[in-house]
Amino acid sequence: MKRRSLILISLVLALITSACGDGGGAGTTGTVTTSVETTETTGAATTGAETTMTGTPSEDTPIKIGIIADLTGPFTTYGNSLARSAQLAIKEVNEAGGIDGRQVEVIVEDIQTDVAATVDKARKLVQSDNVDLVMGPIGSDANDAAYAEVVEAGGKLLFYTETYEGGKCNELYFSFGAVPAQQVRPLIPILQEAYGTNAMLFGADYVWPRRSFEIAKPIIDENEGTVVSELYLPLIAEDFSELVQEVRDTQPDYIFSLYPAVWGAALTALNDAGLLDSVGIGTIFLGDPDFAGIADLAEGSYTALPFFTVADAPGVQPFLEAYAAEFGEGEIPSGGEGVGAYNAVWLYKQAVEQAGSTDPAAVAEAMVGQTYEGPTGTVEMMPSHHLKQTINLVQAQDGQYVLVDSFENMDPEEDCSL
Amino acid sequence: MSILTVSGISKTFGGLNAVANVDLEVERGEMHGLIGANGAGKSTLLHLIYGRIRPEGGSILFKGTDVTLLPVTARARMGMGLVFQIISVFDGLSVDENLLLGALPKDSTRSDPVDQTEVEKVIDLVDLRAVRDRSAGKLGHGEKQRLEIGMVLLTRPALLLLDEPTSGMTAAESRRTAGLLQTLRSEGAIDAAIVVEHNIEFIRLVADRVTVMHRGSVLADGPIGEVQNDPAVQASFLGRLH
Amino acid sequence: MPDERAVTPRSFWSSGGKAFRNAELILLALLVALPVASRDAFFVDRIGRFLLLAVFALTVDLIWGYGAMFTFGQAAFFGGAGYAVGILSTREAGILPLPLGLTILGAVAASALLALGISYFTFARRGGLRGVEFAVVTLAVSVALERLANAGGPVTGGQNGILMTYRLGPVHRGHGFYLLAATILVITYLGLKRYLLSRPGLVFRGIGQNEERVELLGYDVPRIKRWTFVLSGAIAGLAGSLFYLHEGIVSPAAVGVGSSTLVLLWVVLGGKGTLIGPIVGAVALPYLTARLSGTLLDTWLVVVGVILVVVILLIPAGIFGFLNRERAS
Repeated sequence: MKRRSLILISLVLALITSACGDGGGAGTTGTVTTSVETTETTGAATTGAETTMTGTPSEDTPIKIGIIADLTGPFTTYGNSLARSAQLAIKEVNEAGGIDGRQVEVIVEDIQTDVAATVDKARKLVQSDNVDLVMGPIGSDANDAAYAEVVEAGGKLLFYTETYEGGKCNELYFSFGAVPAQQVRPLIPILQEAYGTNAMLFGADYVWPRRSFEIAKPIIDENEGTVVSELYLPLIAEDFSELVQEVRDTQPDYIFSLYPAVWGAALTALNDAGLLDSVGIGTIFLGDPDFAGIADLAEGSYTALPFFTVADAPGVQPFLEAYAAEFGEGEIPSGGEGVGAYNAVWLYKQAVEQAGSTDPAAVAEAMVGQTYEGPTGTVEMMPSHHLKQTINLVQAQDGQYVLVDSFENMDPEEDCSL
Repeated sequence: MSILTVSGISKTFGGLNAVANVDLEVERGEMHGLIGANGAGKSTLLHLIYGRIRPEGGSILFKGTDVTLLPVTARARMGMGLVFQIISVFDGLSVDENLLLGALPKDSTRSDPVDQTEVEKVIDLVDLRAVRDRSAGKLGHGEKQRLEIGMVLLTRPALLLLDEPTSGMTAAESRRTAGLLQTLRSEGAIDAAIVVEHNIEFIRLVADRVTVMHRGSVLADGPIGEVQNDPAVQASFLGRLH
Repeated sequence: MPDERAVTPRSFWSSGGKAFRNAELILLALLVALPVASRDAFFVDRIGRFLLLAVFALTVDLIWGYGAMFTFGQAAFFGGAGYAVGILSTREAGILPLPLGLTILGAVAASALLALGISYFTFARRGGLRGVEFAVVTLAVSVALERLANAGGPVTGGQNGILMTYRLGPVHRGHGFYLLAATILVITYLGLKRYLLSRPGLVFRGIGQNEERVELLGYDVPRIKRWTFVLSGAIAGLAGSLFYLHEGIVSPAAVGVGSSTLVLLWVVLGGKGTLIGPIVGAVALPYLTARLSGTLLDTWLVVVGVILVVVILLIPAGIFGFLNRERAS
């Protein structure tokens, strides 16, 4: 008995130690990716002829970008989208000579859709790996945790690429995903035109829906619409009778939904109650991968997000092709964080080269005003540290998303004076 | 002086009279047998006495106090010590620790020291000194029973309740158990006791008086010699058994 | 002198005696060596976190490993304390926010009171709940607390939780934090060991093995279970307060079923009813997860799963299960 246990303990210890050397600063190295093909960067590709900026540390030391993404757990789709898009961009940057002649090394950590893991991994990237930039996470709660670790405690740059409620304002924090005003402005008029002016605001009970609705109300007002109902249910509810009743009682023309987690279940409840056909739907979260799962129920819905595969900007197809080539036929990024991460990397490159260093404060200053021609169009980092970008609007028709319109240069409208 | 007086006790289960209007009296120093066929109600009566179930009618007086509605633990503290039908000791603890649990003060607000001499006396009485450090789970069936008896004895019960002590035993083992009870009695370790049993031979060896139950009622009550010769008893029960 | 002898619960150490002592010594050596050998503040800090998780696991081992009180809700005390600290230290209302020391005290008190409440509701009543029923109640408490945390609006921070404002001063990070965590772990371990080897501890262990027998010997079983349960809640509360202060954030997952189940896994893996086992489980498994989820990105979940299955199949009693001689049938 004892011997067996000792053998097993040794096995476990061996596994731990083999998993990666000692727990020291070496940490995880190299570009560990989820891709089918290898994306090992070749440091030798650096050309000595590249002009270097004054004061840059040795050309040979790589720039480290850490990614905290949910690769397991409920947010796997988005985490993968984030990590892969970032890795794709980094690969392209490296192939083009790196940032200022320096190759980029990426360290990916799975935060398992768990706040505690986010804290741990963010801390690891900042303290142990000493990265120059942290990208991610996905969830708002994880974002709060990462923000505290990376920006407040760590003094490093945090690039958040997910659709969120906005409101975070810090010198070292930059958001690349969509924020409510960008998505709501184009969406409301279209919903009103399609369905009518009586809006029901339906969301999960947490900060993103709540704040989004606060931003939406004046916009609905400006469009001379009326909010006939505002309802919040727990993020993962099992019973939607309150929703059904509310729709029956207030008879909205359309439901503006921020209920991301189990939206299919909510639609089913409305459908079972025979209400789905008589009410329009608009969302700001149902990207391509999520839509695929509930295409029938989502028939007719409008969605506003930065990226869809049917978006028609010239950069979209090449982006999709490169993504598929890297990660497998049929793999696509999701609606917000994917293209956000991609843009973020290129903007970072530009900012570092302009600043002439990777010092967080210097890069932060250089980030503001950076523009880039991304897959969905021009993006511009505003003084509020949120991204002006193209918002695409689609409608679900016959089980597919069809592009309704593209809205370029949508201002994030965030109040953040730094 | 009666240590236990059960008067008119009744209990029905789903319409069936498990125990119907039963009287039972146990004197100090008396070993009282409780016998009857399966379904006669003796187990139910025992459960009523020690408090696992509540009666529908009647009363139970223990040491002069009405305990009819008292919970199990309270009756145990008052001095009822039950030895289970299916041997119940602490398998993971040593023999010593098992006995200690019998001897420790139950009401922990008192911090009386454990009378170690008593523990030593009991361990010899039940003949487990040689295995005192062994896990109770590793003991043989007979040893376990002796351990349980020893453990309960250390609670200094005024009334010991033995629930079918010979179940699962061979004739030889039963005789040994009977011998143990006799010894414990003569050593003054057992005061009064109720022994619920099927095994008449066993009862003959250990009991002074016996109550015979049949279908929930008392059929006969008295010294075993008398009861044995009661024709009604013979006809309905004793005759059938042997 | 004879009395002394009777009180030394032989079986706790008997056949496992030497092995136990050896295991203790090895663990102590590792505990001391680690911060000395490693200059990497992050690594030491990380292990420090796991040491507080080990305290959490010890409280489960106490009531489940020794008292047979299987619980799906211990995170209510560990995570709940995190919330108590968060609320008491960041919310503004009346006397709030409280200074750091009082918030920790308040959190421990809150955990203890919660445990007391649960125990009155479950096993302290006549015909109290045991076994499966108790487990189900603790499960319900877990679910309810997580819902409450999510729906608590400005009080609990909803889904995003509460960001801590206090830091633990010089013991907030790195070697200092490790020292704090290690101290709490050692004190808890020694304290629990002491308790289990004492007379009340013996009675408690008896309850774990054969509750009815203990009852029929005349002990007030509900009372003993209640106070041990409250003790486990208070200790978990202390560890939880420090853990979440160190984390910097507490969110609904902290009090949920997931957390409660995870700690059960550590205890089972390490070997329940051994104290040593749960400590090892609570450090090894989170550490394995943290490392592999950064290196084997595609497959770590499968790898960890396989390891767990293999270990449990080969050694159902847990890695250190052999130390527990009290495994009743």
